[in-house]
Amino acid sequence: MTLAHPPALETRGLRKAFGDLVAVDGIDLLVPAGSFYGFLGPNGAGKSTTIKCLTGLLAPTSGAFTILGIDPQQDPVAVKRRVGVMPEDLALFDRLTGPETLSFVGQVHGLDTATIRARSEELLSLMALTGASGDMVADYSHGMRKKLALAAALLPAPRLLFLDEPFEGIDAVASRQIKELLSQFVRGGGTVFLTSHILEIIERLCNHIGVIQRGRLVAQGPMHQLRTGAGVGKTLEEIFLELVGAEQATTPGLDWLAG
Amino acid sequence: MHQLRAFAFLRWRLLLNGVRGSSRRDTVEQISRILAVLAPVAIVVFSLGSVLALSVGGFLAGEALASNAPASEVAALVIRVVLAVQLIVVVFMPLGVGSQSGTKYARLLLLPIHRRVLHLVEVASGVADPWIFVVLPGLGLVVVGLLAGGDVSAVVIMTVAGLGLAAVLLSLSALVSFLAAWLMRDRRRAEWLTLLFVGSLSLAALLPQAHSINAAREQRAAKAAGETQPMTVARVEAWLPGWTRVLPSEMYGRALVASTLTQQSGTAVAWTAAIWGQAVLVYLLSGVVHRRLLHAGDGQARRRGVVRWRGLPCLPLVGSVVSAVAFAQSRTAVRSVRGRLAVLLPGPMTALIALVLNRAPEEAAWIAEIPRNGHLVFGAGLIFAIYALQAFTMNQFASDRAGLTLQWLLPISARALVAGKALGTFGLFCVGGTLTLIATLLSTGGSAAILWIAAAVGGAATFVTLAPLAAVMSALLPVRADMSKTGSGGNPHGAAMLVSTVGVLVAAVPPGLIVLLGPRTSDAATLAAAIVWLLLVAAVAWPLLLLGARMTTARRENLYLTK
Repeated sequence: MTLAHPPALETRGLRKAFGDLVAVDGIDLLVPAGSFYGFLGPNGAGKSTTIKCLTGLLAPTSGAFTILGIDPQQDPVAVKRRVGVMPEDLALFDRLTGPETLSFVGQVHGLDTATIRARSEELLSLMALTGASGDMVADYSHGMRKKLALAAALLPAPRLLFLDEPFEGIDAVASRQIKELLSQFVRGGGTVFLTSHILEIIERLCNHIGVIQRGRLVAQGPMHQLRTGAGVGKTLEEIFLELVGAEQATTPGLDWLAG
Repeated sequence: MHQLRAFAFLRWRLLLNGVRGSSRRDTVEQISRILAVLAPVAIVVFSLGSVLALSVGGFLAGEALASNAPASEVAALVIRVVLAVQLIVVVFMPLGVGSQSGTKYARLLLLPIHRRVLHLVEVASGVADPWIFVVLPGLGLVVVGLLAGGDVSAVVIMTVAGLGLAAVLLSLSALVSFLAAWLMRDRRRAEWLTLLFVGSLSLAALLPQAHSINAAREQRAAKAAGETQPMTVARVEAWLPGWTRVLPSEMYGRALVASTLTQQSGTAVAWTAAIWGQAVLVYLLSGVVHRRLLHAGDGQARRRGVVRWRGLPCLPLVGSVVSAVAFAQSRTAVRSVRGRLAVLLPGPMTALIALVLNRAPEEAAWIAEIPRNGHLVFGAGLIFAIYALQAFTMNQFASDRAGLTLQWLLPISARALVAGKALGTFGLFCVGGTLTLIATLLSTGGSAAILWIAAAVGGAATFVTLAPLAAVMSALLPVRADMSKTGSGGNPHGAAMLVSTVGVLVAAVPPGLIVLLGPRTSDAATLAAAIVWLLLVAAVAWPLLLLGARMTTARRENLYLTK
């Protein structure tokens, strides 16, 4: 495949093992710049571990990758200046308030105080967190923490966003706003790398998908190509179930549940 | 019964899985966990010794009382004292541990167990708590001793009384534990209560010392006047305030004396009945609190609402990244119970120690001389302030918990992270040190101002000397820590604490000698020497701190997984 622009993310044989357990088994991801990439897989398939490797939280056992054309092993700080991450465990200081958290992120990114304040107020308002600006994160609900983590990822205006299950635990109103925000971000040239269990969201938002199963990448490419390959009229759910194995979708036994 | 078995299984698996940990750890981490487990194992081994000693003591006391041996009065007194101490332990231990309990009470409501049964099972499972378990064999062996001494009626009465006392202890422990958990529902209320409790307990710990100095002084005066009397059981009885009679330990002691020494079975039965009455009362009371606890839900913190926008300030000279890390470190620390204690406690503790030293006996006049050199007390207070910050300095990465992940994800170099951490904890030390200075100024005699400054510089030099060691130990032996806890849940690794304890002492020797001996030459020379020492250690500490940064990079994955 030839690309007009260098990919936002490219991995070659990325592998991560914890002792005997191989969580990610030599995957070759290709995320085009400006794409909305949905990374799918069943529970325990290796999605979060992949994101953790790509964002530097875990060291890959082997393989290489570049993010926005930069090798993170060579210059991790340069990569982080261009990337925003909302990880699985949200990564927030329990004892900072929302504005303080955003101020911390902005300051580390070298933004001036006026910019940090303006962007923070805008983001907090969008996420409906202004009313809790005096509370510490420890007192936030799960949904509020998620929105703050997303605001923290967006604040430095990154070129690539890693979002691990961003819509889980978010109310419908905020969810819609976030979807619009992310679509706007992609239209502006940004790239989103997103994992979600909600296939409808992936289907509606993403233009590229990758499917991981037991640590291996079983499919990857533009959404329309996958649809064409799978056959006319198939939903993403059907394509996904076919890719990860139909046996996953059948309910074995449990006759005693019928009473 | 199957419910009691299920609860026992739960406790056992939680303990075992806690020891085993996850497979996502490297060898250093596994060794670190093993080291951390050895300490509690050692405590268990030592507590078995206590159980044995109390059991043997109980048997011998029972036998002595049954046979009306010459030392039987003293034996009864010893039993009463031991049980009184036990009673204090039963009240205070659950307060310390209760707030850290892993039990999610609201979750228990989902179990198919009637609330009353759940309450009974929870109270009964307290038998496994070491502070209860340690005394039960002793109580049993008192009865065996009575049997060996041949006093059958006392055996019957004291068996019933012993069971009653065990029931009181179990119910009381459960009551305190439920009450603590209920009060701790609201995070802010819980943190302030903990702060108040631990703070007052720490300060109160010094009062007996002051009292014993007074008592020793009075004893010496009485001896000089020839008014000394031998300590007898009757004197102790007379000295005890009236309210102590309602303590379960005292009621048990009185039942024991009545059933053996004075042979008043009726009185013994009455005391035994009173113990059981108390057991029922405390059990019912614990049931009321248990019900409230179960229905209180997980609790929601009160909202503070909208406040004026307040970001993190930027320090001059160090750059925005180091500055942000430092402010996040100090601000999150002072908002935690451990952080508040670390900052607020050294001052009052130092002042109290100075007051105690002021009352030193005449034959140790040199001790009373110390508080007259306020700068020396201040210097000692600064060392105490460094010790108080151990939880943050010696576990500086893992104590951030999820905040550490955020720092890993942001463009922060390991060098900036380590420097920011050191600067942040130094800021906490400065706040604690300032409060110590104020407290010392109010409680001690004056020294020349220049010597106070020298002491401050010496304290800073000690902190700076320790900074690289703290970074290395934090990278090498991180442990999951919760700074809202005052117990072991917020402690750094045991080995890191040990290294820090020795390290602070060693690092404090040179500045200590400068401040102690310097004034013999001149006050100005003392300050100059302290400054030179500070500059010297700072010059050495910086490259070593970079070594700590390198180690942090190497241990990055483990630090992330420890949170």
